[in-house]
Amino acid sequence: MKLFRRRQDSDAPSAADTAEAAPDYAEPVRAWRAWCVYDQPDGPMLRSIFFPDFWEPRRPLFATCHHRRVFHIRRRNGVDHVAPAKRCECGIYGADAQTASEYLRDPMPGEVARVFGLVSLWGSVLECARGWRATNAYPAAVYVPTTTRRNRCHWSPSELAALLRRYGVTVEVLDCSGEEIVDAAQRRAAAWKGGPR
Amino acid sequence: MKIGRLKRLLIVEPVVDPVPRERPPADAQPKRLVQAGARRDQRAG
Repeated sequence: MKLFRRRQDSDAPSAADTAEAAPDYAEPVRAWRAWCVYDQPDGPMLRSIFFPDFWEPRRPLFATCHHRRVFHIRRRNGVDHVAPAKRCECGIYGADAQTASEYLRDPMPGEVARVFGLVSLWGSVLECARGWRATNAYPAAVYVPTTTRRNRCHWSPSELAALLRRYGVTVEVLDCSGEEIVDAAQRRAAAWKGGPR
Repeated sequence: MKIGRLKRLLIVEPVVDPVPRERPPADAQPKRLVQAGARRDQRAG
C-alpha cells in the first residue's frame, strides 16, 4: 500500500492553462535581456548568460528546466516538468531594461562580448513583478555597446553587429557609456515599431 | 536574473512568427510550371 499519494506536478502549466485555453495575446511579449557572445565555427553566436543554451540563428529557443541538472536534485515523482513552471525558476527570461542592463558587465572566460537587446517571448509566459519567464524565445533586436570590454574579441563592435545580423533582426551599435546604454537602447527601440509591449 | 514574484500566467500565441525565415535564393524562385513527361514514343508498351 502506498503511504504517500504521488504528488501532482502542479508546477507545470495545466492543460487548461495551455492547449485548450484561448490565448491572451496574439503578439509575442517583448522584454529586455542580455546575452553573451561566443565565437563559434560558423560565426558569433548568442548564448544565455547563466545556462549553456545557444540561441541559433533563425530558430526559436525552447525552454527546458535545468534545475535538476544544475543542483542534482532528483524529483520525487521522477518527472521533469514543462518549463516555465510556477514553482521553479526555469524558463527563458526577459526583464525590464534596467534589470537586464545589470548583466552587461565584463564577459566571463570563454565569452567574447556581452550584448543587450529585446527578446520575443511566447507560448506559456509567466508574468513576474519585474519580468517574464517563457517557453519560447527569439531575439527581437540586438544592441552592441561599444564600451563593454571584449575578451579576445577579434571583431570591432560594428563587425560584430554585422555578423550578428544573420539572426535576421535589427542589430545596431550603441556608442555610449555604461549609464547611457539603457536610455539609448530604449530610444532606439521606441523609434522602431517592434519595441517592448 | 531576478525578475521578482510571480504574478500570472499568460498564453501567447503570435499570429506572425517571431522568427525571421530565410528567403529562398533568387534561383529558387518559381518562374513557370512545365509538364515534363515522357514522349509518346518513349513510353513503355
